[in-house]
Amino acid sequence: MEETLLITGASRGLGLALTRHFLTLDRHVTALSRTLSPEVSSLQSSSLGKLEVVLQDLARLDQIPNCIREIERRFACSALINCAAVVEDGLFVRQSSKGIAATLAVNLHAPAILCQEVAKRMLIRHEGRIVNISSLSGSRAVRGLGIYGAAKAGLEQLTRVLALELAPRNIAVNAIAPGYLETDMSSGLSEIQRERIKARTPTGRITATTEICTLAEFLIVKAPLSITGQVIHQDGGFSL
Amino acid sequence: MSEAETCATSSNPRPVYWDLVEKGIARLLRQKDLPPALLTPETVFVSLKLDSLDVAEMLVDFELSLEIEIGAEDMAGVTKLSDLAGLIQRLDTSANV
Repeated sequence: MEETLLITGASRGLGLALTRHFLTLDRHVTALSRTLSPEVSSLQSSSLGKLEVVLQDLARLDQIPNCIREIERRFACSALINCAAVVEDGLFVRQSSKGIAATLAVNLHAPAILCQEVAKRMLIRHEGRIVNISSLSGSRAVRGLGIYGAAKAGLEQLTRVLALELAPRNIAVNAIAPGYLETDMSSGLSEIQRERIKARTPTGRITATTEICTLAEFLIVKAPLSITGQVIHQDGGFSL
Repeated sequence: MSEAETCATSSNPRPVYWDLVEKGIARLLRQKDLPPALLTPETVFVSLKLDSLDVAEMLVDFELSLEIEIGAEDMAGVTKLSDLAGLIQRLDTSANV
């Protein structure tokens, strides 16, 4: 059975960049996305069958196991990158219960179910790589990102526990914690905010998504099993 | 239907379910370099010295191949390999219809 790399949140931003990157490596990619963005659609057209797009709203947690089951009928998921995320920005005291639940669902509960469903198959095959995309806000307090940060902190801890449990079966689980990235999610930053971030970042610039792709490629394709359970901060030194 | 199938009980599961368990356990025994002689219906799980990941792998294998769910509570009364075959037989409702 052909192997595939499963990437969530592939319609835009970092997920789209990751999808594009792994396609250039001639990997088969299954992109999970809530909607079919024009960018993904175009990638699919030019992928020569290397990109499969599965429309799935990850907020529909009950549908995820069946979604993975269907994908696994055609492909063996040899790697998973949990990249889908939603952000409800705002002071915690003003966040609605519904918003809190939705943020936790997509940023923590859905990746947990995805890890579980994919890891079950990896467990049988004795091989697999999982990369969870976390965030600076998973370890640092960022105003307005209380629940998002809590979800990412949870994802980081899940990464460590999964790594611990699955390492005997040749399955590595790591997380990448980017800082500010040039993506749709950061497009709301004002120019002043951007300059402040650059000033506070030792590299003096905002990290490019391509740099995250390089690290993801290393963790999925090249890294030995001994690198597992790690949360790698890739933020230009912002978190130092 | 054979006599063995009509007389099947949880402690005396249908041969097909024993075959499934036998196959799954045989794989684990090979992984752990344990003697195949341990593979009998009366063998108790404890004697196989499986760790929790071995058990998880075995159960997941059954779950995925039969599209069933084996809960922790289901495993409570399972001590012998034949108990597991009986349990899987009960849970595999599609085959029991």
